[in-house]
Amino acid sequence: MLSHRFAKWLLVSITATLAWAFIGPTALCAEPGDVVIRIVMVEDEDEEPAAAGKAAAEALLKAMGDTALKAVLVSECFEDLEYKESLIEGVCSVLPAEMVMGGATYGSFTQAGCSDFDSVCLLGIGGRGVGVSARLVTDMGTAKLTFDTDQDQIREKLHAAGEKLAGKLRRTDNDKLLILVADAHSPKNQFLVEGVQKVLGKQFPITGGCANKNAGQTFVYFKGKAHADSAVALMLSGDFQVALSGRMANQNDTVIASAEEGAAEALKKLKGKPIAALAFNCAGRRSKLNDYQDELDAMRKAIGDDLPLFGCYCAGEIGPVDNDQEKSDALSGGSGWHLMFTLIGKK
Amino acid sequence: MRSNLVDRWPTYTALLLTLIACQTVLAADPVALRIESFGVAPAHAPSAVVQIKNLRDVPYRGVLRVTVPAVWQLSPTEQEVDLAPGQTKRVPFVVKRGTIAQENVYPLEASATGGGVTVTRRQNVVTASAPYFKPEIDGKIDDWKDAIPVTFITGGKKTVVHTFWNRRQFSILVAVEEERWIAHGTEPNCDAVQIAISPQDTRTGTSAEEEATRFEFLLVATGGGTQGRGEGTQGKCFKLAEPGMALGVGSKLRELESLAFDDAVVAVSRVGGVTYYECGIPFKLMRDRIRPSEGREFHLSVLIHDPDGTGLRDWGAAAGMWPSQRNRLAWSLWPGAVWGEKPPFDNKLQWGLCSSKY
Repeated sequence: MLSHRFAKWLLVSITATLAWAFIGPTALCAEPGDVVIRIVMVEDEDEEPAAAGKAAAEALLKAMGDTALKAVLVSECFEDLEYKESLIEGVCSVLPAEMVMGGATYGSFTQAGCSDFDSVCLLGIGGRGVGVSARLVTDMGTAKLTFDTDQDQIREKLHAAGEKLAGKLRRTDNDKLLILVADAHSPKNQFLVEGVQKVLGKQFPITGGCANKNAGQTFVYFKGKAHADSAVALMLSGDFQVALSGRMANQNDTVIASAEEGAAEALKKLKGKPIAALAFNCAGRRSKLNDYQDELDAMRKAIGDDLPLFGCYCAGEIGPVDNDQEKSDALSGGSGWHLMFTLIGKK
Repeated sequence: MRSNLVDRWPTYTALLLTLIACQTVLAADPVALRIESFGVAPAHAPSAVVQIKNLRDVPYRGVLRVTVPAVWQLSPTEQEVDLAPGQTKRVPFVVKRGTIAQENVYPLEASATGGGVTVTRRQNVVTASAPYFKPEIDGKIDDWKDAIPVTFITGGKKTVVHTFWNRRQFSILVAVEEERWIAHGTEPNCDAVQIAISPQDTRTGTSAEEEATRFEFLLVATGGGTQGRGEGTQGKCFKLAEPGMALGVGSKLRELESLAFDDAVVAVSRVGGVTYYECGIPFKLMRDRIRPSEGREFHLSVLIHDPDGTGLRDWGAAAGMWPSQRNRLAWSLWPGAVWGEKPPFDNKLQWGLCSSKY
């Protein structure tokens, strides 16, 4: 029995070791005022979600070095709640559940590659230069409503949910970026963002993505627990800059071209040196690619191969909406078929 | 006046001959058109893909347009097309704004104008896509309500195809309206559903030596024949072909028992004049060629065998395939089948895996 357990552990450890190769350059000792962002991804081919979660969490801790974690964003695509909960339990067996949040997605990508099967990607945020405030809103009341028939009701409920969620956040004068993860797939996500903007204003930088909408798979995570019909907000504040871009496309060539354009636009806008990239991407865009890697390679052309990149495939994206026909007066909105790209940088 | 007519007769004759010649040319369209099924519902920004084939032995240059229901938005609304002789292209138009029809029927029109000739094709396009879900394969059809129904009518009888997927199973329910249900082994010819699944960007060869690109299954009812939901739900699945098999193998009559595919779960039931064939096929078999993930596009074609009723029902015919797309090598023969005078259409009809129909 013992040797059997050991064999399983070893197998997962090997997987984790491979995943560690995905990690960007590590900052083992953070300087005062630093913002430390690290990303790990673990793929599980053995249907061992708890072990995968544990391995990912351990890899993240190692990548963070001496820097204490303040928040961990999860993107996972295990199948069915039982496996998802097991995965999160694995993560929380290593990391404090209070800081673990995120959502079920259609997969993740980092500098090392893309995953669309049983996998977990963790974004770790720490350092003295960053503050976090995370909140959850539940029972939004829209999970069972369809846009075609219930649009007015969805608008009303998600405006209220967004306003309530943003209103709960601990605010500072140095708030820089809100990350939203929600059970509000496109086009519902626009209404949630509008609700949040009632509190934060239309020009506040917001990015994020919507949870996997496959039947029985739609969950967001907060404090290590799975929630349906809910949304999570993570406010980042501190001495750093952000730059956002959004690109819409739904054909192989345009998906690839727009990924490079979007990443390049964010880089051009960023005042300072980039320290990490967040890419909330559309699973539909991915499906149009002949090779998933092509879109990732296009982003790399703009940002290079070394910058820590946290990417996930969503059912709706939040960020600057790419629509020339209907220009918005808001910086961010909710849409589909988008790559919402955010760079975080330091002066 | 009469003299004028006589004098001008050669001119009139020439004009008349020219007109006749023009008519002859017009009668044979320069291009063939077909609008493919949507991969996701129109509300989720699918592409309306038009297949256009140059039917002549000279290059074709024209403008392709798609007309959509009034409230929809298409981008672009027209595109220039250049085709070499005999060449076929797939031209996508993005549905930027669309609505969902519960009956899953969308009247669209494609037209191509080139060389002064306009060719028009009107079609009732469907969303051919499997939402994510794992139904119980148990002869009860209640859990199929969130599938996207693809309906076609042959000889006045309705066939409805529903599909679902998750990472472990591809599920299909085919509802066949028919007068009488003939289970396998009870009469020389029996009812059956024959399906072919193949990766996108594959084609069916034209010689027996070429390799098949499809997974092909036959679903039949066994025993029973009891009327009523959930009763008499025995069924069987046979694997008639898989990629790599020589196409010629499918042209031979093989004993079905040796092709039994017991990894698939099958239930066949009959309610009120409709026979329901429900089947779960493990994705493990196909995963290396068709990776189960949201947005995956592949080919799924369906034949319905109703030998004592409508005969062969072919989704390819209902989906508007061209006559030139019939291919005898696209489907396997099997003992007990009754085939039509012409071969069935090719098995390369677009289908997709989507997240949800909502």
